[in-house]
Amino acid sequence: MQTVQLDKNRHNRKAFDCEVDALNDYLHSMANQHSLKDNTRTYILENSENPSDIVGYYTLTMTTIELSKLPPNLQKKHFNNYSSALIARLAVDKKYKHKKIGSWLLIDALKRVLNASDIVAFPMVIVDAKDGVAEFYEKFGFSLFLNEEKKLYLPIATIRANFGG
Amino acid sequence: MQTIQLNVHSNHIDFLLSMLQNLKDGIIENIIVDKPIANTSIANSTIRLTPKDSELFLEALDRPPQIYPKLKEAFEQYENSQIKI
Repeated sequence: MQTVQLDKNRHNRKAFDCEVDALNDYLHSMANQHSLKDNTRTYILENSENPSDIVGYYTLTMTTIELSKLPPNLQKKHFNNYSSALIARLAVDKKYKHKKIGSWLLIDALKRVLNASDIVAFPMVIVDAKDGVAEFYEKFGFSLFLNEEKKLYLPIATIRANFGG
Repeated sequence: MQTIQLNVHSNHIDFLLSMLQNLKDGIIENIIVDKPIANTSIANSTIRLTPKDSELFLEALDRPPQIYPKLKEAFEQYENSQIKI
């Protein structure tokens, strides 16, 4: 299993259905445009027997860190850093639910983020969790920003340590 | 060597962090408390902190990043390609 960058000529975007309209719509009509403009990158997990069939996807970009919403120790540690990776979207087609694909995609995304941070340093990855999925990310060590219910972060150092780096 | 026992109020975090960030391996040596700190007691012991503040101080002392079993397990499954489509 491996992810590849979204290719509109190869992937059947319209058939993708994760049962969340915002995530479907983004893949159907916006992801390719955003990638062409270098605003985001969308990675696709293909069905190995039928590559046009999209099993799941995630989108990466950069965002700013609201330092005041981090715990004091992280504010001090990263006081002059404002950039962070962002997992903007992550979704699995309903045909492939309950197969731990979401976890697999998250690890794949974190590996890409970790590799990117080795080249252009940034201190954390942020995720904007949709309704009801913050708990999914918290299981993997993400922490909520102060006074936020959906926005979570995970330090790059934590990813590196857990991935045996 | 003088060791101290502190019950830390969150208002004192900045002061104590700056003090403790200079320590190595959590060993406290030649500490001079140069101004009164409310709710602070000094005794011949190791640092004692509330659980929340303890976490902050350990981070400040460059404690190794936390290991999350679910994250580690998911990474190992990923590496071993144990998930089939």
